[in-house]
Amino acid sequence: MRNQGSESQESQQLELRLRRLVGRLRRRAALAAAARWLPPLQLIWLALFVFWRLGWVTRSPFAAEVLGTAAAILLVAITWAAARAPQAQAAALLADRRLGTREVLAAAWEADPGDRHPLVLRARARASAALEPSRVREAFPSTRPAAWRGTILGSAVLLLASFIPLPTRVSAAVPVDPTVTNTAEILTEELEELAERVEEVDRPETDDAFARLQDLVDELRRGEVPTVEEALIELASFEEAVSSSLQAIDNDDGLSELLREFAAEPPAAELAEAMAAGDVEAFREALAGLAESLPASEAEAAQRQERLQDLAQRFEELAATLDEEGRWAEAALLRQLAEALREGDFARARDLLGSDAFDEQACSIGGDCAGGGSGGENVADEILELAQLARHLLGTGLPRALAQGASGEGARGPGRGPGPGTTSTNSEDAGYETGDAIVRHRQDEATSDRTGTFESQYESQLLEPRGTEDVRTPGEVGETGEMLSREGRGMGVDGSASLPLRPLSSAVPGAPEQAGDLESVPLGYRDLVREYFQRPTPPPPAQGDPP
Amino acid sequence: MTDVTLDLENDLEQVLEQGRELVAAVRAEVGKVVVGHRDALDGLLVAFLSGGHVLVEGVPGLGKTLLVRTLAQALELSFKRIQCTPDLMPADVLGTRILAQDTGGGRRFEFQPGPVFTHVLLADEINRATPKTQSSLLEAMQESGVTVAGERRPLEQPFFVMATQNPIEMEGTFPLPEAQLDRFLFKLVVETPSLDELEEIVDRTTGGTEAEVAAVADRDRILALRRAVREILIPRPVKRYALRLVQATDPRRDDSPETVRRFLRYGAGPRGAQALVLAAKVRAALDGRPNAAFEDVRWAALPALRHRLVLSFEGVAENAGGDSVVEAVLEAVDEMEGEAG
Repeated sequence: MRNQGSESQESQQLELRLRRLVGRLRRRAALAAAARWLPPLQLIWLALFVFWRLGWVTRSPFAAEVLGTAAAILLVAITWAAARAPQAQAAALLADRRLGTREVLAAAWEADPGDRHPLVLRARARASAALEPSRVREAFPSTRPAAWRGTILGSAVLLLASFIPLPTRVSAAVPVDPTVTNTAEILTEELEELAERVEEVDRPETDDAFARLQDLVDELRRGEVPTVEEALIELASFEEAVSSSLQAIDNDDGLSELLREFAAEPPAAELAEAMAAGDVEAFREALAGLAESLPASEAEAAQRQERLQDLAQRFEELAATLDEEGRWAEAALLRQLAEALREGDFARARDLLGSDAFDEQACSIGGDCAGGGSGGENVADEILELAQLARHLLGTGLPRALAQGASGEGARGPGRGPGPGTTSTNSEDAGYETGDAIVRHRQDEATSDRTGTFESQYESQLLEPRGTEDVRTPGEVGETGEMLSREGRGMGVDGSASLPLRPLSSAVPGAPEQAGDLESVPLGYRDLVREYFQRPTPPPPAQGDPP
Repeated sequence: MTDVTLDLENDLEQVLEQGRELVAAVRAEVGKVVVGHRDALDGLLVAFLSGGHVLVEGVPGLGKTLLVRTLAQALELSFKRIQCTPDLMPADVLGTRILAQDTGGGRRFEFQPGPVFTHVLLADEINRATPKTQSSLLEAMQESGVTVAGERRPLEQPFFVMATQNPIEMEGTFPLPEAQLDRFLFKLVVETPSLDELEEIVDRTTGGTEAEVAAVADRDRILALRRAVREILIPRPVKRYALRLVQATDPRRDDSPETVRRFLRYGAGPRGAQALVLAAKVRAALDGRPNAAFEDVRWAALPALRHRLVLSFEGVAENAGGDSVVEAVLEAVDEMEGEAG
């Protein structure tokens, strides 16, 4: 007869050893599961990081993120595996299989600890013998899980990859178009102007946006953003900041409108969006659109330069005329302008042309600027006309929100012509979006027989406000040989302004649709309205017309 | 009938140990006469110690009768044989009341026991008996007793029926009904001997000497062993595994193997599960283990389930045997559970 005390002790010892074994099995199973799942998870994360790096903007190493992520994956995998670890009985069965004990561990495990059935005692004795440390070590050798190498390899690759400076997808996939190589410079000017205006607002909500913008301008100025793409990428990030700033300054109509317009301004937004989405084709198209909107081609730039030189020559001739009339101050102003144009100092030329003093001095020569002008032979009229042409040449290619002010009045104020009844101004051609520049349209009855057409097309009663349509307004050939012609769009409302032609052209194709979609137009008439706005097309250029 | 009182606290291990020695001795004694048939002998012993009965299927001349008779001799049990024929009547099996005259000239009915009143009964070619005669064995096999003329008469334990049937001569036979088949714990298939075994059979049976079979076990020890084997532990996963095997033979279940759903009309019932568990326990006991294991259940699956499956028309048409279905069930359940190793 067995000693009951020793049997009880044996039972407890077996219980303890079984529990230890089961715990060990569960831990091993958890680690094995973690090792099995970690490599694929790491590789997935690596792929995500690489795509993130290629598709977005950071150029800095991301080792900290990688290490943090790997630790998080490890923790999650172990937790997951521990939660799914086999139950004690299943672990006992696994041990039975490994040890070849024919389910004696399972039988001993599930027996009541107080059960003194002879076969239970015998099962415990067998299980205890099976759980000899040497047998356990032999059955469960302390080798690393099979996937351990993959885990280490995956971790190493992930860590190594975090230090590799990967190229951005945009620069790798899209070659830089040589026709837009000056985009960065233009963007710099635009952003600088915008930064000044944001600073003028002096609102705490705009501080962050202004700081980002100022940093971007500084980087552009220092040449730290050498490529167009990177400039646009920076611009895209700034646009994000603008979007977030809009939330805070929504009640500020002026600034909100400015920033909202900037955020939606093509083509910069299109480029940024295309790059963010990784759509190479869309990026190419947007880039081509940007190229078209810029005075980027060498031939066009040369033509503009030639015309500016001609203007400089004409300004000097007019200065000589004013000298003869004794208007030395005005003559000196014109000579300064001519000198700036001839030397290519466009910033100085813009300053001169952008000041109200220039127009006032021109008007003081003899014209009645407020009345719309009195005669084509007036020197003042010609000066104003040439100045406007110079402004146009110097300002072409800038996005309208950045080229001119945000107010409907524009930076240069209401249009003024040489005399009443001979010049139509854009005070009648309102309807352009806020911030458009002012362009004076001059139509002389004496030199043009198309005044009627011009007037009818810009008749405010014929078009809804903000309706749009391409219009070519022929003008006369001036003494300088310039054909003063403009393309505008749509009818206006009082106080708004027109804008340079090129930015307009991109918005024109959609204008008929916009006009047809107005709520004030009855549904049954919308097709007629669209057809009406699509009907007037620019006449073919006549022989000898300037391009 | 004598019963053996088993003191589980003190005698169980001893009984089991003696039982193992007994079975080893029986194997040795039977091996003196019977060549081969080790699997059949194992099946017979397991079924005998389980308290069940065995249906043995095999062509004539393989030594089925010799095997059973030798087993009975080795166990020192009474042995009777019934050669089943179509004109065999239940009374020929169970016994009948006859008019007897005593010495004083008085007459009275006296029960004349049939061959069923024995320890080991061999019903040879049982499928040649009529269903009525076959059914007369039902009560004896299930309840270890017979009722004759309204009087129930218990059979002395151990009572072990071994029936044989010839699978090739089916003309003029009466296939056993499902209820009768279900009473058999095992259905064993006796295979033809190998060349070496055949050579030894020829040597033994054509020589001048005949082997003597010694009785190595008595009835009391056998009954004690029969009770002891039921104490063998069976872990719950092993038991569930056996039950899942039985459940998987049900063609109406969606999770049953495709083979089962195609070829079976009815599967095994609770008696099949009892047979599996009990046989697994006995096998573990004969192996000297305190608990049954998955391999015991797997070993018992074929003989315990193959005769409990009712083939569908497609199964018959495809000549699908019970063995192939049980093997498919084993494979499917092993794959499904993954815990049987």
